[in-house]
Amino acid sequence: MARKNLSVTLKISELLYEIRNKTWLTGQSRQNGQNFEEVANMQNNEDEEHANQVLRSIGNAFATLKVRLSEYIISSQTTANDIQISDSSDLTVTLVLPSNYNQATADAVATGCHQYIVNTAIAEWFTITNKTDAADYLTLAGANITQVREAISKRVRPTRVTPTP
Amino acid sequence: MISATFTVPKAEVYNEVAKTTSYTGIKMSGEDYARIFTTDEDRMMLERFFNEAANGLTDVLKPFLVSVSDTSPLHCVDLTRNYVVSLELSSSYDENLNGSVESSMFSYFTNFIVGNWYKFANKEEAETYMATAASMVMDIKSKIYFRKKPVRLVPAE
Repeated sequence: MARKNLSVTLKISELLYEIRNKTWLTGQSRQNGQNFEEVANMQNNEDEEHANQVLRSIGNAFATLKVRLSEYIISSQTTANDIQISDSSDLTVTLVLPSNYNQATADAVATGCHQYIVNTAIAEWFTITNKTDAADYLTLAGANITQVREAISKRVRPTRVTPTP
Repeated sequence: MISATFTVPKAEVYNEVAKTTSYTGIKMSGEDYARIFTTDEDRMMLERFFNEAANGLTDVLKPFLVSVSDTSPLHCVDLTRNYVVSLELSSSYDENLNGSVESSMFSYFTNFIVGNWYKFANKEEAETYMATAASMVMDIKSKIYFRKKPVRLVPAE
């Protein structure tokens, strides 16, 4: 039976922007007029040490995402390494889905994957810089992966083909 | 990263200290004026306060420090030895704040020196100036730790 391929592309610039924007907004809202250093530390930006940490976290989250969706991924990969992902290459994964997969959920799969990576990376970032908020993002990431799996599980109802008498 | 160099001219700080102490002294009686107003003869003492102010500020700035002018004590006053500090600041630092940071540094030095001078010469007002110096440090920190909001680059479809 023919399968449906769903190719999901996650733009690295969109992932980085959302992580930086969320951590920037969090910092802004935590200001108390004295904690300038703490606020600056929780606001992820393009500085080398910030970028390296967040790219490593995005790479980790993407790898975990593929594990969680591995039953839908067919790969002929024969080598692997631990090199940190680059901030200029997008993340892509092709899901091989049953023929009755409901493609109406394709966008939900992509946004769910995006949110999972963003929330996981922020959880890791806040584990270092703002511990009180880290667990919330881990919870959100858990909900995101459930959402992705639910979206992938949607099926179209069968269509009866009237047989010729 | 963004490189920035800030300079606090020592001669101008001493002039400002002289002005401030002069204004305070004028409001008081003749004897008080002579005691409070800093003159060129007091500069060895002011020099020590200048170096202490410099060391305190360098400590605050050390996460960003690239280089800083020498503040080792001398047995004379050298008005050309300004406080010059080069920093490597976050790529999200707002360079429009450079002038304001430098101005706050100048105010910090002035208030710190006047506050310490007043511990000898005008005890009642010493704490006010020391508190202002401390608030200037907070002001400097608020600027160098400020981060501009991230900018979204819309990806090509």
